[in-house]
Parts: sequence; C-alpha cells; structure tokens
Amino acid sequence: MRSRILAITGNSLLELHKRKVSYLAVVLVILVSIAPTYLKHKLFMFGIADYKLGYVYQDFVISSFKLLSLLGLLASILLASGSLEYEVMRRTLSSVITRPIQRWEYLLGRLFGVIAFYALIILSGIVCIYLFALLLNFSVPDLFLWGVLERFFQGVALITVAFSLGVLTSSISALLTLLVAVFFALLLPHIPADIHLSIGVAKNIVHYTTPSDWISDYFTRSVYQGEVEFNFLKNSLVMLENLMYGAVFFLLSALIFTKRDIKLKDS
Amino acid sequence: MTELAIEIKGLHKIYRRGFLAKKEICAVRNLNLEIKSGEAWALVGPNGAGKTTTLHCLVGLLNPTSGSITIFGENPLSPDARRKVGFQSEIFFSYSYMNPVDGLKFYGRLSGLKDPDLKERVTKALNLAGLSDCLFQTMGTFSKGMMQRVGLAQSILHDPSVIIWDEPSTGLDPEGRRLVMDLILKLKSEGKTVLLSTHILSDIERVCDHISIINKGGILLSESIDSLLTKHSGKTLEDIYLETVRGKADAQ
Repeated sequence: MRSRILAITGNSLLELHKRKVSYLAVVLVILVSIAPTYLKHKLFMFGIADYKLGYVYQDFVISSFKLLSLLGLLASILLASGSLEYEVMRRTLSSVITRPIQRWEYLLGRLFGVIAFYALIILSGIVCIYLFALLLNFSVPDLFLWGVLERFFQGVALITVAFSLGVLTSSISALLTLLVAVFFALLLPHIPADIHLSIGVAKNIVHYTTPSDWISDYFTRSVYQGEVEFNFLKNSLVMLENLMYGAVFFLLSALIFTKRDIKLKDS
Repeated sequence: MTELAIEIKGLHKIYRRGFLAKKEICAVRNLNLEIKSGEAWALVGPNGAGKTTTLHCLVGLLNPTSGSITIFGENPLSPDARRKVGFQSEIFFSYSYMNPVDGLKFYGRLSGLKDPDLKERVTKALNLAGLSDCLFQTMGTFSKGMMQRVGLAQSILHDPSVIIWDEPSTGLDPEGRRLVMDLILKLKSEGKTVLLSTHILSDIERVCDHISIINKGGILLSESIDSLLTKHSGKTLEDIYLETVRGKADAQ
C-alpha cells in the first residue's frame, strides 16, 4: 500500500514540476525573502542604525514568513482543488484507477503530492530565514519552529479541505475552492481588525464549525514574539484537531469518489 | 472443468443525465456473459451498443446499476482481482512528460512490481509492443499509434491472467494491427484469457474462439466462431454479424 501511495505522490510532485509550478515556489521564496526589507523602506543590511537590530530581524522573520505561508498556502489550495480534475481532463485517470490500487489510496497519494509541495515552500522559507540569521549573527526566536509547525498543520487542513472539495465538486471545483481559499485566507491571523469586523458572521461560522478555532491568532503571532506561555500538550492538540478536521473532509470525498463513475468519453 | 475467468450476470447500466439526473439512458440491459479461462472472446456491435460500458464495468471504472460481475470469482474492484487484469482503453492517454520506460515503471509500481523484476518486465513489454526504438523519448511527442502501443505494453506489464482491450487496433498502422493479432495469439498460447471489443471482424475470425454480438445494451448472439461459421456455411463472419444486427433491429 505504502509503495503505491508513494508512487502516486512522486508522480504528483513530478507533474507539478513539469507544469512549471516549481518556478512559482522559487519566485515566491526569493520575493518573500526580499519583500520585508523594502516594506520597511530601508535596506535590511544598511538601514540598521535607525532601528534596534533585534526588532528589525524579528520584523523580518514575522513578515516574511507570514507572507510566504499565505502565498504558498493559496497556491497549494488552488493546486489541490484542481488536482483530480487535471488528471480527468488529461484522461490519464483510467490507466491509474484500473490498477490494483484502491481509489482512496490514489486520492491520498495526490493529496500528499500537494502537501509535499507546500512543505517544500515552507522548508525553503525556513532555510532562507536561518541563512539570514547565520549571516547576521542572530538567533532565531526560540519557539519559531514550533509556530511554523502549527502554521503548517493549519495549512495542511486547508489544503485537504480544498482537495476534498475539488474531488466532490468536479467541474466547478476551481471556482468554489477559490472562494473558500479567499474566505479562509481572510481569516488568517494577520489581517487588520476592520476586515475582521466586516466578516464577523463568517468568522463565527468558522469558529463554531472548526474544532481548532484557527481564526484565533493568539498562538501563531505570539509565538513569534515570544509573548506566550508555551504549552506542549495544548498546542499539540490544536495541531491534531486541524488534522482531524482535514481528515473528515478527506474521508467524505474518498467515500463519494469510490462510488463515482469514471467516464472517459465525456471527460 | 475449466475455471470461469469472467462472469457477468444480469448486468444493467443506466446513465443519469439532465437536471437532477432525471433523464435515464440505459446503456446495458440484462447482459450475461461467461468466459472460461484461456479463451479469446470478442465483443462486437454497432457504435453505442454498450461494449465499452460493459468493459468499463468489468474493470471498475463504472459502477453497475444492477447485476453482478466477478473475475475469477472475485469482485472486480478488489486489488486481488485487479492484479489479474490488464486493461487498455480505446484511446490510451498517459503522462506526456514521461518516457515509456518511466511511464511503465510507474504503472508497474502501482501493480505491486518491484525492481529488478520491474525493470526486466518493462523492457520485455516495450519490446513486445514494438517500442524498443523510442524508449527515452517523452510520450508527449508520440503519435496516436505509438501511444496505443504503450497502452498495449502497460496492459501486459504485470503478467495478468485476463486481458481486456477496448478496440486495441484504433490508430494503428497495418504493422501495428498485425502486432496486436500476434500478441493475442501469444497470450492465448500462454493460457491467458482475452476479451476484446473491436469492429474488425476479419481479425476476430483469425484470433478469437468466441464472439458476442451486442446491440442496444443486450447480447443478440453469443457463440463459438467455429460453430457459427459451420452453421452458416458459405457466409463470412461479417455477413452473419450484419444479418444478426439488422435482423434483430427489424424485429425490434
């Protein structure tokens, strides 16, 4: 089973690479590494005199990682939503589905492919940040990696939801998932308060339907700034909840996909 | 007694179309078929007769509305049954960015094959399909006929006991068509069961043992080719086919 899922995952990643999506990842990482310095209207290396060095660096870490995770997540969500549809459109699905592979294994392999892409973006961001730290002789905030991990799991849950919606909705998946992606992206922690207020109703819906309450920005933001008490058990549970939320969507879509006809001539 | 390789009992397939899926199109109705292990069986019929739908139900692409299908007594959706089946669709599509070697390795891994056996089988399958000259050319540059050959190769890669081909000669040149026929004879000699849908009746006469003529979702005639030709002496398989299809159509 593992080798079959891994084969699909590998092919899914290769497909993203061949679709030039990997270039997007590279551009994203470069852009995001440079962007915060310009946003501050100062060159990171030469405008240090006006700032306390620590703040500049902390700002850089927070801004660049938020931007990277947001853009990377949006890209991954869009890729996830169209992942199955892309295979149906190219009519390559039948040669895979008729192999001794369960349909849920196939879906899991495709999903892992997109998650691996997202993980690569996040990983590249982390490497960039640590390289800057090394270059400037700074230390990265203590709980930074833990915060990244939490953000990653939130992302995985969103990607899984988008992927599942793509499987369930078929032809209108891209549009629907785009809406969902924008909806959730707006609820990410770093949006201004006035937008928060304008989407108060939506916020509540999400609040009551997601076990992890991912609209709360308390953890992600405060971990970067080192203001919060770290509770391993509580934060692990939050990550687990995110995974379970994604898993429910995945199971539902896998169940429906198993019963679905794969029509070759219409596709 | 020879084992049943494929057994279809009372197969019905209804496609639902339109708003709230209220419009029903019956593609296959009460289809029964029993194919013994080692037989080469042809499914023929006019366009839209239900051949492809039947084959797709057999390989699990479509879910039957009612009826049952077994492959060597197993549910065709089970991985065990699928391991025994090699399938090629009417027009084979694969990943344009892969070369046939990588493509077949991918399909082989999905079928549970592992190196070094996988590598050996890929080479053998591609040689049998006549693709040994373009092993490392990406499939995006392949012609329709070459893709069909890749399709043939992937269907026999994992040494299945049952081979299901949907119009395997589509897009093939005369040499390719001959290759398909030779391959069927070879597979038959190895004791494999072959079920194919095709419109080329002369080919069927050459390589198949049995024929089922299907129209409007039901089987009109199912018999061994030898006994059919003996019964209608002086007539070709094409004459018998046309008479059957037209006769039943007139009757209906």
